[in-house]
Amino acid sequence: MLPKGEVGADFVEAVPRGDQLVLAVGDAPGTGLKGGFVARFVGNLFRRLVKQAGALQLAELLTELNRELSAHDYFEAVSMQCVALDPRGGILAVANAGCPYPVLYSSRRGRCDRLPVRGEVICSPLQDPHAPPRYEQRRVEMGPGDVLVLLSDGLIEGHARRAEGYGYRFLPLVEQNASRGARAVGEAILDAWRAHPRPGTYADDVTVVVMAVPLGEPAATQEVRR
Amino acid sequence: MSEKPRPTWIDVSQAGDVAVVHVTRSAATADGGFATEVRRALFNLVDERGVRKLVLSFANLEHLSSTFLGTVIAMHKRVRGAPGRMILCEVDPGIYEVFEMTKLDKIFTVLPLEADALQAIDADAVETLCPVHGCGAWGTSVHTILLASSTRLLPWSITCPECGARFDVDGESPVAGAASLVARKVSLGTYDGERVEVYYQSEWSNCPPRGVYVVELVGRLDLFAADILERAWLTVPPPRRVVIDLRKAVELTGPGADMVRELCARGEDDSRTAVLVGKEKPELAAALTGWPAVHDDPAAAVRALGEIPAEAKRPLTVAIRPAGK
Repeated sequence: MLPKGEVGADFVEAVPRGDQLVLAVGDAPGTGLKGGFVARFVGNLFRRLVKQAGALQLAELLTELNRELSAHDYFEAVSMQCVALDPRGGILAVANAGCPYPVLYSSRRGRCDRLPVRGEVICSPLQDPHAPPRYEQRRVEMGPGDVLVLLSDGLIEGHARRAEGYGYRFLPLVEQNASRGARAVGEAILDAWRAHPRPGTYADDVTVVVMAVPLGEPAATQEVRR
Repeated sequence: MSEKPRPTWIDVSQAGDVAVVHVTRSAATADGGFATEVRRALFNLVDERGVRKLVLSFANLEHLSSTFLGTVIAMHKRVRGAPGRMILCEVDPGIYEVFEMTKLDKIFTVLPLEADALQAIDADAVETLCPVHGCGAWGTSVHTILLASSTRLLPWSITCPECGARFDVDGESPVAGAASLVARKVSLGTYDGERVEVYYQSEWSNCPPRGVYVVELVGRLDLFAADILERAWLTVPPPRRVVIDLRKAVELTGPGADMVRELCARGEDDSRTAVLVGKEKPELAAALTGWPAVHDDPAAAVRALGEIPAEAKRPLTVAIRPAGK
């Protein structure tokens, strides 16, 4: 995580739940202490909701999170995405609320895919109180050798022109470094991002979370690096 | 010591009763107190100058901060509450992709050119109802806005701002006074460049009889695509007569094959499903060996569905209504 200022407003939350690992990456608005406070608050709320949930449905979890935050004027739009990995079944569930699409590297194919899962930001000021946002949960296969990359919009500089922002230029790096583990992939991405030419300083916090399932080991042993 | 001159945040010109606002680079990246000034400058247009029709051009923008995006959202809310109308234009594809990811395309009206926006600001837009199973969202699109006044349309397609599905509407559909249009094709994205498509009238050279829908998979059929395949199958109105066309499938994983098998076995609403595979992909055919519903000839797949009931012989339709209802 590379905060823009002294206090970052991105957050990462990892919650073990039985055999599953639930992860969230998010971006609270603004900078400084308020942004940092909101980020931590949302992370903690996410953790509580994961632990309280009966059957874990990520879409319902985002809906509930949106409902709780929207009830307070204090909060502004928060983008986040979350995943739940069931290592035994080799299935990854994904839900998104306004974050850039996550990326999954398949060792079988030797290639990366963006996972286009859409969703409105949480606590959007444009929300219709009578028609709250609907989130979808998508499922994808994830096995040994596969690598998942979750990111905040600071990395892709999504609000920049496509030609100038960093975008998804990191996909070949994931393919090249996948066999070296999550840390190597994450460092390669951040090194390339830092070296990317851009006018002035970067505009937002940058967060990358890489999750790799080691090759040749049971899928149940997950390697998680921040 | 001379003070650094304040940047110009917005450049406003007038086109009749429409205010055309060109946002400057400095406005789109302003932070802290400057961001507040930008917001105030935009709000003043509505609050002080009484602007009710506003075209917001992003033509000069190289970068858009999250703070400025929040300002645009707040401005949209303010204009709508006035009541008035705001249209965005000249938005870079990279920035527009962010709108899509965050579903802001559902909220904002975004047109390619400033001229389009000026033309559309007074148009009576229509909304269309997404025909995809489980979606049912009403939405507008570039075409519904620009062509709403036409009585007959050229073939056009609409992207659902809720689920992202694209549906092509029959060019012969009359719009004025109509309650629905005929959808020729519905396309649901899986991975980048890959999709599941639902055709009412197939583009096969030996077109099957009316009443048979083709659900065609282009790309991989794995768990991620399998859920979309099911949604596409459910989009076909019952009683379904469906051929799942896997001739453009490049890969079939276990969960993908399971989904095909499950759809073939579903008899709900008197549904019948056959599968079409290409002879040139023996590995794919081998994965489905032994399935009675699998064929390598389109005509055989259609014949396998048996008699086509009269209720199945109806096209997929898209309901329309005036925008804002």
